[in-house]
Amino acid sequence: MRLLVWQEQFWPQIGGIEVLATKLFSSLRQRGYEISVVTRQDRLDLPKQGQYQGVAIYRYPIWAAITRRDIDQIVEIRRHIKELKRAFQPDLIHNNGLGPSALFQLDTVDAHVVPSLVTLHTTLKSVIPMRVRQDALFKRTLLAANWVTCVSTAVLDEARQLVPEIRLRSSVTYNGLDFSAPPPAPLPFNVPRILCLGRLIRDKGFDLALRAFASLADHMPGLRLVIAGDGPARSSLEDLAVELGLQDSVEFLGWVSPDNVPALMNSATLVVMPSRREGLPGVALEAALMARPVVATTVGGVPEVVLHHKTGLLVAQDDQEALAEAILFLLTHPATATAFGQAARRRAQEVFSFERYVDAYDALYQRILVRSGRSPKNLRVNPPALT
Amino acid sequence: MLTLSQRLQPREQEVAAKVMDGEAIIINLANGVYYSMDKAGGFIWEMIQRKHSLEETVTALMARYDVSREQAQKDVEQLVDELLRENLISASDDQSPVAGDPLPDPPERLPYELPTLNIYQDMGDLLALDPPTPGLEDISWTDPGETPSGA
Repeated sequence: MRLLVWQEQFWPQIGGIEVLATKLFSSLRQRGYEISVVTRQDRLDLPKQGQYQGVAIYRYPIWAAITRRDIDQIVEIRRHIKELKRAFQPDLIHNNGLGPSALFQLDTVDAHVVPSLVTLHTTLKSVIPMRVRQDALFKRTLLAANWVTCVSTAVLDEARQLVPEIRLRSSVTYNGLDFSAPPPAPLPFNVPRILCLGRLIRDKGFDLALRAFASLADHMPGLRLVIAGDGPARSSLEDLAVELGLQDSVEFLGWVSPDNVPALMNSATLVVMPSRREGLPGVALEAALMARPVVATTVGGVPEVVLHHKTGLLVAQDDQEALAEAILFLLTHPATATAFGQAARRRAQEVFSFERYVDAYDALYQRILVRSGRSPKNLRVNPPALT
Repeated sequence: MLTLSQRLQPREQEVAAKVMDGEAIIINLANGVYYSMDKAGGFIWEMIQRKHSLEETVTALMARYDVSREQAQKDVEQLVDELLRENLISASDDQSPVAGDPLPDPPERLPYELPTLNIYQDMGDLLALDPPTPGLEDISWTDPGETPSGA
């Protein structure tokens, strides 16, 4: 099957969706899929075309074209995408996430008409009005899709509320975890470290982690907070750390290669996710993989990964005091913290296995084709290699 | 109230527009709202760009597409109303269309579809969801044994 994927950001950009997508596509290729990815060329030093693990990548300056309202560039991108669709002849189009790039998929649909799937990775209440206009790209993309799948029940419920028309053609597909990582190490309570990992944006709530940490640091002098990641909020977070007198006990690592995340997790006593918006939190899955207990907020799909008092502790969004209390509890109850982490790992192996995840998408793609009147037997079994 | 003799034109200071292969792409430069029209809609936009009157546009639409006069006039008026509401066009004081080669007619009248103005209002919201991420230039990311290409 030839699969054309729309993805806002892709390799070598680091993020939960990006890392997981490369693993999914690599596994699908082993099952005979031929995959091309259309993505944004946010970094101009990246070439317009490339490949990673046999997946062809086509990068377009979509962000620049839209934000600068550059009609010439927009028309040029549309022309290239139409040519790509006609040349690649995909059997199915997958919008893996929904962002401004979807404009170029929707507006070129006549170039090569095939079924499409949309995966929603996050809740949108904070950015999309609950009464979605008919002329919103978000709504139009979902309405045009043959199927919409969501990474959690929370995301699905919200999507169905925003666009009720997708009720009968939507589902949940949980993300998967690659269990080939190194084994988890015991939780280090002698040198306790709290880990926050992710893009440094307001939605991740790391400002709350800093404030909660500030209330604990005086009581636990050896405690450290590590914030790994980067983003537009970094300088404000660094300023806040200084303002709170935490410059000697908080470390900002910047981006960490996905290859190094397991080792980073192994150095942490617990993981804190004070998010204000989440779909299915990849960091919580990574923490479960490495048997780390998680303290997190009850937003989006977090409660579907972190089970309160079983695999971690949940607190209300923006509740800094409750966050600090929960962190302190786990730091002072090592047996409970260890048990939570081990339970998280066992559950992740049952519910979020990578094989199950790949099977789910493989089956979903096939089902969409059958529902649209295309039989898998009509597809090329041995697609030509990319040149 | 518009009359059929009224000439219209794009609001050139506020709007950027291009027609490519019969498809019109339009951006409101003030608010970033993006529009597109194809087929009959793209054709009507081209007529407006050339400052044709509504009557001339209806006549040309009937010559190009398999559509009755009554339907063509109703749809042109409806689309023009929408373009006016979206502040994409305004009345023109010119007495004749822009000089130039006429739009070529196809050998046979084309099947007609209702001209539709596709409007995308939420670009700003979607841009805010997933901004570019800085500082990744020095991060290596390879699976063991893999040699990446294209970076």
